[in-house]
Amino acid sequence: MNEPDRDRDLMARAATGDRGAFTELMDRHEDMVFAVAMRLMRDREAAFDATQETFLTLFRKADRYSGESAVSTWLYRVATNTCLDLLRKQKRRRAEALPEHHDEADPTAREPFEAVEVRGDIETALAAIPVDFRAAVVLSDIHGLSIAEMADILEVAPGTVKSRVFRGRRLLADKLGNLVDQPRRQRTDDA
Amino acid sequence: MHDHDLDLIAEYASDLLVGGDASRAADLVRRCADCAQEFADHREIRQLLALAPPPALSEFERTRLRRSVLDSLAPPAATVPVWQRRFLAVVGTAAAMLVLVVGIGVLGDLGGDDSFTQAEGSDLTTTTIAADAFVPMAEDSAQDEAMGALADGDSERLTEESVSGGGLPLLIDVGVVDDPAHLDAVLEELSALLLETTEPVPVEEALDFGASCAGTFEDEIPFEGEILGVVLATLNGVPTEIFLTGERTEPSVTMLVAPDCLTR
Repeated sequence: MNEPDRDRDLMARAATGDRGAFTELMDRHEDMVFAVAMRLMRDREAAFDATQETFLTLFRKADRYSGESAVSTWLYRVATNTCLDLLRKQKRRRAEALPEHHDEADPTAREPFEAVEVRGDIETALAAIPVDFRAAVVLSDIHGLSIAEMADILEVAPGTVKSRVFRGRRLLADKLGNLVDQPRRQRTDDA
Repeated sequence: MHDHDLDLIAEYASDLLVGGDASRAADLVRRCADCAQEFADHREIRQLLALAPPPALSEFERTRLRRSVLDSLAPPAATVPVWQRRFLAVVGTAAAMLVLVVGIGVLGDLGGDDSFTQAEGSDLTTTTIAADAFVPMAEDSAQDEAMGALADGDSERLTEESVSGGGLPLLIDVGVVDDPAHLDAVLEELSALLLETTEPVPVEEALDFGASCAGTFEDEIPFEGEILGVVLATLNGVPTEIFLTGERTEPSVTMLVAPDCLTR
């Protein structure tokens, strides 16, 4: 049985409440889910919570899995949406935590995570771009998903996915600035 | 360079173009410095991201994740006293238990010298289950049937089924404890020991006391000192910790189990 078929079989069993099957699914995919969550949430504990929530959703909604897409794709979708939901909640909580008579928000101000100092680190740069672009770039360039798969996962049109990936990369290039240029120069120097 | 050219170059750098579009993009990269820079940026970022090492769960986090998820899946246990939520293997041959769960896994069919009694007036029950009662999880129907017999408090010898991987000389004694304070004290002490642990030990597969008492062993449980292992289980939907400790003196393990776990 190939990997996707094995996953489908495990999902079918998990849908009947088989915890052994569920545990095996966790074993097979928890690293991937955590990696996605870590890159989207940027905080280990938050990523852990998102991973936990993803697998709880997997178990509770296993009976809704149609089997049309790969289980991994379904998990990517659940993990990504869970992270995006948590991030939105975090943002709301931050907004609600503002004092009653706070200054008007500066519409030109960047989001808090964009204030992160860029230290020539791809992870830091990744953390510093808006989450929609980050999600697209992570799924595309780190996890290697196709445009169609990402459109399915992110529930947007393929054109929107492409746009987010491309804009996300451009933002990363801006953030990385020197890092992107330096290796190129070093290679030239080496040559 | 126009925006649509930028996107064309980005698609080209993403290996999304074929045929004429790819040729047109390649031509732009050759002739236009901005296009070449755009192409290089996309390639560079893709490469950096592809090479970025994936964040990984530590073994401790992995264990914690499974515990928290499996505990969360259990129904609310508000009506069950805390001391009944756990059962404890404190005597005898925890090592035999570990060997058993690694090698075989799941309690399913009950064969051999099985007995079940419930102490009158006690919150906990006593049973002895022969080791050859352990069968793979697939044997659900036999397991349910066996649990039905067990649930009736039947102390008679149960029908023996074919048992794959059976034959280990293990007995599980589910002991009677009528002193919740003592049990809590022991658990607290063991829990304190557990906090000092760092090294994981492989314990795997599931211990299943029947349809209403499914329990799952964690793959890797940290432990140290006298504790040979900790089993995280769910009994009647109640999160349960099983501490395996003591020296192997005879092929049996004593456990303290809430009576609900042995009824359906």
